[in-house]
Amino acid sequence: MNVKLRTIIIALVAFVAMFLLTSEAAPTKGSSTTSNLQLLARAINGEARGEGYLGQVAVGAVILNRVKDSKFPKTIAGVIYQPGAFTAVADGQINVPMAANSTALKAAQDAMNGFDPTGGCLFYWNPATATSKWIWSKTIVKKIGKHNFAIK
Amino acid sequence: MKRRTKKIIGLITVCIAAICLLTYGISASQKAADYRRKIDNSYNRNYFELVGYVQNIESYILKSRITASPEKTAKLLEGAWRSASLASTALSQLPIDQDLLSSVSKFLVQVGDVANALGTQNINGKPMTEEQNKMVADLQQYAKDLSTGLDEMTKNVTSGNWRWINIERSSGKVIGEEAKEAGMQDINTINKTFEKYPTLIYDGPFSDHMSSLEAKGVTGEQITQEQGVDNVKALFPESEISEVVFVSQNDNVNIKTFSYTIKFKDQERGEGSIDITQQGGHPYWMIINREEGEKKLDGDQAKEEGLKYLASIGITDMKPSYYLIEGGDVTINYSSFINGIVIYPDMVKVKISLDKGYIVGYEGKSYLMNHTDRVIIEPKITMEEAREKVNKNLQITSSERAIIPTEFGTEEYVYEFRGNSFDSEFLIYINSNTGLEEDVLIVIQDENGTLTV
Repeated sequence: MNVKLRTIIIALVAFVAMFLLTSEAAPTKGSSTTSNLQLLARAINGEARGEGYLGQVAVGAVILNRVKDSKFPKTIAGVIYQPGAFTAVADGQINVPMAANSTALKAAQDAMNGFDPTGGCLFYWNPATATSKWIWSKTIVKKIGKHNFAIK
Repeated sequence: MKRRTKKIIGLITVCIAAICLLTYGISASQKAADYRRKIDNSYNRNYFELVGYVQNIESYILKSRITASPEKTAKLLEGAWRSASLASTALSQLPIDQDLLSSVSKFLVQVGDVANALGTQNINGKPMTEEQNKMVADLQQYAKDLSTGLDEMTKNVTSGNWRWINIERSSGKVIGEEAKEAGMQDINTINKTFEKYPTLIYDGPFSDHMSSLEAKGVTGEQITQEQGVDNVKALFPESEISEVVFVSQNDNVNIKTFSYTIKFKDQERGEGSIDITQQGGHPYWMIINREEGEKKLDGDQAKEEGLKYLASIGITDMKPSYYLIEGGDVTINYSSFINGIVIYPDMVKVKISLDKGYIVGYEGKSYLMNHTDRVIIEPKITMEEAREKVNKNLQITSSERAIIPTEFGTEEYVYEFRGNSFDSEFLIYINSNTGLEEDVLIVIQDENGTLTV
């Protein structure tokens, strides 16, 4: 390949790279006012989207159980946005709005109405992927779908 | 074109590209540094607010111990409660692993809760007991120890070498083990202060007795998981069930249960899960997920279906209180109604689908925790005397006797007055022994049901 062609290709690649590296992430849609129900539904969707309905209600119940526990923040938003608590918050999935007829919202409604398939659990993790020694030291109550649920 | 010109054009193109790339690169990294600074500012702000509020907790409690009147004690304890609340919020915004500071979080929540409970007690004219004075002294000492620990940490935070990003990166590490990063040692030291933190029992929702309340409604003999299968099958007409499958035995909870999945012959009936108690085989909760069709039932029909279901599981004498329509279902709250008294702690929720009237949900934790044969205590004041205690602005529309749950696991006998004022509907509860107002609720009604706040 001759020098001129090579130079032009390098220049084009440089331009493209420049744009990719410097474009800011567009602000996520749906970050306007969220009621607790909608927030809970979004957290459920982010954390348990591939899970069955029971698994989704269970994740919602864990969040609400944390609100009532002295070791965690005292509001739903506080629990959900506690730094490091949920990966769905860290990676932005929390900002995907949930439609009124979505399963996640239905699961959030059941959780808010007091349905708790976990029996009071405060923690959950995926045993296939979690490596933290800390989480594995928790007392497991049961497994729902692909998550272990633990109480303390 | 001459070869040399082409070469020059090529060279210039590359130079321009390089300069643009460099410029954008510098600009992007400046933006990143800007964002990092904003985040660090936010962490610093929350950290310093935490330090300030913890000092406030200590001084409010100390003052409350020496002040002359119960009213002033209550006011100072209220200050401690407010500071503890704000300290809690500030702490929860720091990027410190939840588990590393869970004991500090617990302390902050409990100190506020105790302060609130004792403050209320003082306002109601009841003096502090020996034990309560000791509890307050202990809490003051812990506030002081936390303050001292934070002072040490503050020296590091303000030293100029501190990087919040190191704390962020330390998340997930077990306490003590790999905490070599600057700052993690401080956090570990603070944690050690709370190793001997006592069990606190008081009249508040975060008291330690709340996690080990006795489940009064769980009666009967221990059953096997095979017997449980029959219990679950009995909840539905035989023709509907295809299979009930045992899933797990759950022993590590307050109320031990067996979990099952329920498979129906008709796919349209949905798929269900249920937990029943190991002792007595009582349903604890049930969730059936299905696609609801067009609404055919009205509120009264739904309430009847719910009552029929409750009777089938041995729960009688129930009265519907609140309901909520969501999607194609209605969730109805039922409370015990015995001898003319509404017993709210004995509450269950039944979810009924509004197309076919199927039972698609049941929630009975409150009933299992609280239901017993109660010896009804005769009230010390009459309904009329209680009515006098209600704010004169309330236009009372109905009244009834009731038992309501407190936030800390006990029950109170009350008169419930429903009425209107200020364009709102209220429920006011007057204690039928003391005549004191126990609670005020706002009733919010819309086409989907009622809610009380």
